[in-house]
Amino acid sequence: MKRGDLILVGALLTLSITIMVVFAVLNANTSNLIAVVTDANGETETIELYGLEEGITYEKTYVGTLGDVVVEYENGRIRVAKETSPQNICSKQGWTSSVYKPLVCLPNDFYITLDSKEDTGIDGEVG
Amino acid sequence: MKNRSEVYKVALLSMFLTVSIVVSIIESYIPTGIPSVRLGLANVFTIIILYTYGAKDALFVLVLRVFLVGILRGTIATPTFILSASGATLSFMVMYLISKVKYFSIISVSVLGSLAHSVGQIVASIFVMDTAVMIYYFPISIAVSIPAGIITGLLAIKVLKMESFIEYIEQTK
Repeated sequence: MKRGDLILVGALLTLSITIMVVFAVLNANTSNLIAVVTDANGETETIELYGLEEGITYEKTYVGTLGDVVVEYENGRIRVAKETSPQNICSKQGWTSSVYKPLVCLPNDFYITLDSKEDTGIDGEVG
Repeated sequence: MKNRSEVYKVALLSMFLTVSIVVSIIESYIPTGIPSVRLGLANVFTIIILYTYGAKDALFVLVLRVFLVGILRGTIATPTFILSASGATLSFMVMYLISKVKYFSIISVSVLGSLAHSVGQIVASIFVMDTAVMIYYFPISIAVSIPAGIITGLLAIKVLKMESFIEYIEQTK
């Protein structure tokens, strides 16, 4: 190993850890999680992941290119439970509760992103 | 004895192509749980050819591998193939350029090749899926490319330093 290799590996490792730490810190400050589900037809649906009863798992089925994509969600987290694809990477990714960890099912042209819903505390404003 | 050396060379490149296809297919069944992230052991052969016969032969074997793996896995003309081809193209370009920099050894060539493969796939996914969602996999791609690149780089160095391999290569030149 040359000196250049060590510098490169060190720099990449630092960059990777820094980005992951920043993501974790930013995610810790998010509240009122919502999931935006985009299916193979390009249609999107928003699921609120907050205020749900603890211990109950909800299920929804969406359209994927290779077949149905079954999504399960609970209070504060969501996952792809079942899907048809060569490697099933999507369902093996497990649960996500991070804005910075989307679930991508490439063969099914299906993905779930998480976001934080701004809570203004008021229903509307009169100007 | 140009014909004989040509035959030896074609035999070696064919063997590398065959083994790299088998490795690629086996690897595709080992899930990492992260899209676009893989150990990339088949890259060992691209590096070996790059350092023995040069960029032209390495690119030729790489293109054949990507297409043949696509055909064998039935992913040709699918988003998976587009991502695979994009990753391989960017990976090769980066490895070729870094191999010209004396400051770095094969380890860096391999690490950056591995990282470029992931970056190529992430960029391609933005066009294929019409969303930049895969960009969030960038930090984990960097983290995985380090051990993956070091392992493939060390394997390539091991082969390139084998006496029997060096003797064989001499017969093909």
